[in-house]
Amino acid sequence: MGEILSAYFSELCRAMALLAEQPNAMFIGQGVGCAGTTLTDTLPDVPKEKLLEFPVAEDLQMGFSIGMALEGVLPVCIFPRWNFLLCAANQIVNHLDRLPIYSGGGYNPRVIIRVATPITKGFYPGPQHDDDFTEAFRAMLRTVRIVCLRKPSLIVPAYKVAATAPCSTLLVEYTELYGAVPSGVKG
Amino acid sequence: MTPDDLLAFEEDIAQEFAAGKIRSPIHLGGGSERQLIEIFETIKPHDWVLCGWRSHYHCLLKGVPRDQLKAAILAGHSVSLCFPAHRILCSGIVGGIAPIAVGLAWAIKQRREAAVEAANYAYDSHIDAIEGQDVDAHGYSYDDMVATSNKLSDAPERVHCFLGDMSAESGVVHEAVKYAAGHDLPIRWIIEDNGLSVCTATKASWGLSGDRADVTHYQYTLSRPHAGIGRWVKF
Repeated sequence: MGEILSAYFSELCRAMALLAEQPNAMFIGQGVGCAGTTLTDTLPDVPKEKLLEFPVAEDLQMGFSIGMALEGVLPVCIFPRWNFLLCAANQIVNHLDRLPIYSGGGYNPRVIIRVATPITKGFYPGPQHDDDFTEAFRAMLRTVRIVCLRKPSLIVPAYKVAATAPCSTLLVEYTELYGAVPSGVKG
Repeated sequence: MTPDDLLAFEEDIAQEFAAGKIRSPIHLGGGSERQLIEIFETIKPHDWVLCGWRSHYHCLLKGVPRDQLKAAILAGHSVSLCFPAHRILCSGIVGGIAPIAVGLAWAIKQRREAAVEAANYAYDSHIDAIEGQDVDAHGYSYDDMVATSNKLSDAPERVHCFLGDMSAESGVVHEAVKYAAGHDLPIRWIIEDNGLSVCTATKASWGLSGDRADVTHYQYTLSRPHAGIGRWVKF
């Protein structure tokens, strides 16, 4: 079990390092440029100049990422929990997802979104932090792909596809598969 | 483009709507012609313009041909017009364009800073010394350096974000203005203040008085109804 958990985490780190090789990639979110969340620990091999520490303003962060993408940046927009990403749902649904439709394909911002579904066994983060809204977002989105990363072997291929896909991708991680992360912060 | 040109265009659209030829919402402009013409005198073709749902005037003033604009409106796109060739992006969501505008401005600033760095490097490398060579020791050609220098001599791109007075009071717009100011981004906020959000008095509903000092703010009285043409149209 321990080896599988470790593989999951190391594959996430490898995927982030590969994404960082894209000249236009930028990683944006809270705790990307400093310690703070479990996801922070997956960015050790990303150059500092590609990490944009952002204020806690999820809707602003998502819209900001769309603007970056329209100017040729490949944003990797990170939300540590579904409940936090919910605050960005306005931008995800009304612009990231719908802009390619209502602009007739004229604007097609490509954003990679990372979100984590937390551990609920052993350590309970509470009813405002424990949700998995994957299916709810599947029901709302028409152009953004949702990919669930349930196994280590899926991670790098999924991010490679996301980096070149003609649309935006929302990738769902599961922190119970992280194993022992370097900071010791979990959930 | 004169105020009469703008008014004539909107009247044409109103007639088309009255005839049942536009089967989607429209929000006609009226009363802001003079102010917008003046504002657009400082907006350059390579600048971004982001607007809400009342944007026919903005599109015309940015250079969208009237036939192309009318076709888009007849096709039902008035609420969220987009013309990538003219760098126009609109949205029917209150305040929704503000974060996008900030991201655009951030990317523009990053690119410009990179160009400045490259130009400084070119200067340091004594550009004249390598004229006629393919590339210098660092891979820069003479043409690269001249192109960079020319690019920097152009007026820098900016983002112009037009918001209604109620949108301007929304939380995400306050966040966006704060972030843009804090990071000195090339963006201008223009508040188009007719005092109303549909029929709600903006300032009274918030209990506000006075205007922000860090945005361009103009007041006007909308000479059209919020949406449609003021009477029922049978489609």
